[in-house]
Amino acid sequence: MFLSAPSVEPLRPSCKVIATGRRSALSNDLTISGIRKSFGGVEVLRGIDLAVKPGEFFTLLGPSGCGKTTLLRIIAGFQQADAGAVALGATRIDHLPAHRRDIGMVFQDYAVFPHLTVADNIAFGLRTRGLPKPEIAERVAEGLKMVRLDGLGGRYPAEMSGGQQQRVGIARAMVIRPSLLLMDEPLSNLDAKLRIELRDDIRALQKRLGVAAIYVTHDQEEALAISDRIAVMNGGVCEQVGTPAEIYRCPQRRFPAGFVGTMNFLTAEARGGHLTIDGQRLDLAGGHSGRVEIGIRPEHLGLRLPGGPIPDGLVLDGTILRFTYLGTHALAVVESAHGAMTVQLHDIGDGFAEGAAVRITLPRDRLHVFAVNGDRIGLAS
Amino acid sequence: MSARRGAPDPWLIIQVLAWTILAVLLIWPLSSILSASFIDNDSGRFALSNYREVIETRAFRRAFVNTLIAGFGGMAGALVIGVTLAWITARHVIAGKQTIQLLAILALVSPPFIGAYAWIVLFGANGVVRNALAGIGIEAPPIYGMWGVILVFAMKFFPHVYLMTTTALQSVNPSVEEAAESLGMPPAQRFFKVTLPLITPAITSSALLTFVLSIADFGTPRLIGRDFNVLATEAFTLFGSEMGGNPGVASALSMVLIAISLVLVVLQRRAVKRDVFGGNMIRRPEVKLVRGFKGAMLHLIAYAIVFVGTIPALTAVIFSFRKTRGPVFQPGLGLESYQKVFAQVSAPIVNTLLFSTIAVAMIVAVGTLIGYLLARRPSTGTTLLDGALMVPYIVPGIVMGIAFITRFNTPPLAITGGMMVIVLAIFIRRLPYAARSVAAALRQVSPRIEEAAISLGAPPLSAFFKTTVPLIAPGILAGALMSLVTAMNELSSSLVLYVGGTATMPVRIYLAVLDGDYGTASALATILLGLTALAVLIAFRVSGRRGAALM
Repeated sequence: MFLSAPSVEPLRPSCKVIATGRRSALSNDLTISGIRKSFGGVEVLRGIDLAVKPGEFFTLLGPSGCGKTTLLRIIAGFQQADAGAVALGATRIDHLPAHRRDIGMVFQDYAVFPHLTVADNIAFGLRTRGLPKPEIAERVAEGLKMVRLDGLGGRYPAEMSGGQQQRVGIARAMVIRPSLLLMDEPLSNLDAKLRIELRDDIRALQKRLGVAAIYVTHDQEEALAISDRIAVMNGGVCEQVGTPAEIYRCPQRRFPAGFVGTMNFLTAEARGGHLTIDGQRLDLAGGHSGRVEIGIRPEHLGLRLPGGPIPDGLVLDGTILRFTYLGTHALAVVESAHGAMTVQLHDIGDGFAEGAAVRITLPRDRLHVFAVNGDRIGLAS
Repeated sequence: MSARRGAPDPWLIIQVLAWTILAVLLIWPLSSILSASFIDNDSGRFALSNYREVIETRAFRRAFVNTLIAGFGGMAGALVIGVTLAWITARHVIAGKQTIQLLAILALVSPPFIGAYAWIVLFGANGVVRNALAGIGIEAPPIYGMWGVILVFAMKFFPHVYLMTTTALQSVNPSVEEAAESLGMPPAQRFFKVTLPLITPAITSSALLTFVLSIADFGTPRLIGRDFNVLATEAFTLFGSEMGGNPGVASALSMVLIAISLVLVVLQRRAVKRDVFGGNMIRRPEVKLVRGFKGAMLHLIAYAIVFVGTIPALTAVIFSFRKTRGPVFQPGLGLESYQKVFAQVSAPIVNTLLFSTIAVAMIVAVGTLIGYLLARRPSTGTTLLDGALMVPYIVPGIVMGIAFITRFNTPPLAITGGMMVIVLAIFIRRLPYAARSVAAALRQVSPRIEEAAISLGAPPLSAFFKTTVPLIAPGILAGALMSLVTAMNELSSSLVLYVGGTATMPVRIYLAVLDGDYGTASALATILLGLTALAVLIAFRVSGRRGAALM
């Protein structure tokens, strides 16, 4: 992948020539700034700013209705933003019609052309680019091989399974060697096993071709597995952008904390920069007051029998409500005065049976505290 | 910044065009009927005198009751026959299902007055079958009157019920039926408690259709009803009377006719909540193999139904080859009827082909664009457009004809007496069917397909023609052929609008039957049936033999 100077030749609307493969990947950041969009008075995107780096696998993660698909369709050019800009390097592309943006797209419902054979589907974008016939044939063969459909070029989509159809969709978008690849929940119509298989294929293919990709999903596990970076979206805003590890380990907002992975929450009232839970004091940074939520992941909770020393953090007393043994680990649901907490155990000690009285430990450095407005509050050191 | 801000959206222009067409060809003509019904014939002022006359005149009150009898009678008969045939063919192994479907469609597309006429030939005062029965001592009553009208309607419109119910029966999830049986419900009870409720939306909408068609039909009560007058015939008589006529009362009767249809439409919408009971269709319903006596009975019933349904067509064909002298049939076979048709009355054949071809070309062009608008550009405007397109469904052809003749008799659009007035009447009456079938076909095609083509570099219009058009083309073509069939067989509006030189085949057949010239009527009817059957067969081919999809 070449990294060139920021001054790339500007894409003008009158420019009919579209990239035919000389430039095999995004060589500049894709920047999205201040994107807003309303449908019938309802604001579904409320000012989105993002930057995708060359060769990066970037995921938009969020629940349905968070605006992630709308944002993707604005980047693709199928919808117009009410405000804001989409730019490739220093060149704005939001004024370009969709067919001149040189962006490959993979759809949730595959959108393979049912009246064309697999080979003709893959050749579609190459033909619109007016490539010479031998090169089309070469690239179609390459595309078929890429998605492991060699020899099936003469089939019609109706004769193929959903997974195979989506492979056609992927090959079709890849062979045009777009400067950016967009994928709108491409795996959500497939069964679980196929989903994981194709997910790994997509990731490997994207890295091999070095094309920057924006991937939309509501499946947090899929997002963690496939992405270089993730933008967690909710209610039309971007809650947090970061690597999978950053988002999982250090959620900056209440929403990603609850949406990505499992998180136990308990509520407390802070006064003058500290709060107390069962007589144990926790000091917050910045003298915060008001209602807060304290989050902690199941694997960070400890479980022991009542009594004993209190570690650096909090302890809660409770009763085991349900105990599930899962081989590599076990899950205990403990009913405490602050609600039910799920504890993930690797060392399964004696005495942890359903109905047993236990003590949960919450290490201080594993706590995530959030204010009512969703912002993270640090702990006082 | 935006390139698209300068040029107006082409689809907006098309929507404006669609509204203009509806305003000129639908709203404006129909407003003439509405206003004429409120204008006193003598004083020329606004008055309710026409409606008072409708209520106070005994004959009109009887026509009103008769209209309801014909509508509900035809509907009930069509329902019994249609649902029975659908249940037999959709759920059992029946030899020659394709043939049954084809025969049912043929029965459907041949004009109803051919049916009326054929029943007269067979069971009329001097009917062939009736005479034969009398010869062996059985006194059958002649078919004229109320029961004749109901019988003809039932035999004529049952294919609508059959086709729509078949589709519904084929899409009932068999697991739901099996669940009912596993919960302890015997099969017979299960049919009424589970299957029937699931196909009720299809049955009631086909029932509504047969009712509306029955009360709008004018040829059948006219030919076979004798003194069984209905609103359609009364309106036509009043309007077309040589001695002045009575346009005010004719208009009031037309409004009553429209009102009846409207009430039924509203009732049906109320009765059926619009949610379709869709589900995951993993399996198709089981088609049972029935052997022995029961199997034979099912075959017998199914074939008897379609045979009786096609009797009118068969009668017309057979009688067209009988020897005639003048209007009188002679023993033996001969081609005199055809010689007469080609020597004296060939103009209607040319007219029919010409008018219906022009109308269908317009219907396909405009209907496709409106269909795209309805399916792909939903907005308040297109919802209203869809509602306005319902109007031609409930306006009987005879009323549309009267509306056209009153509005287009004088400038700015004085086209009465010409070819275009007949073409435009057919166009506006059939446009909704075409627009809606294109919209339905488009809803089967994911809009993502077109977007995929665009994202691969195809400009929007090119993407539309490279992906969406090939996908809906069979649907458009099949729809065009079915429009051609209905256009060729249009009687009621043409009968009001024709003048000597613009008579079409249906009009000419109708006139020949009234004159008692059955030979000419049979020959013309056979030619019309042949053309119709040809179009249906081609439509069957291009649509992949899915008959129900054509309706």
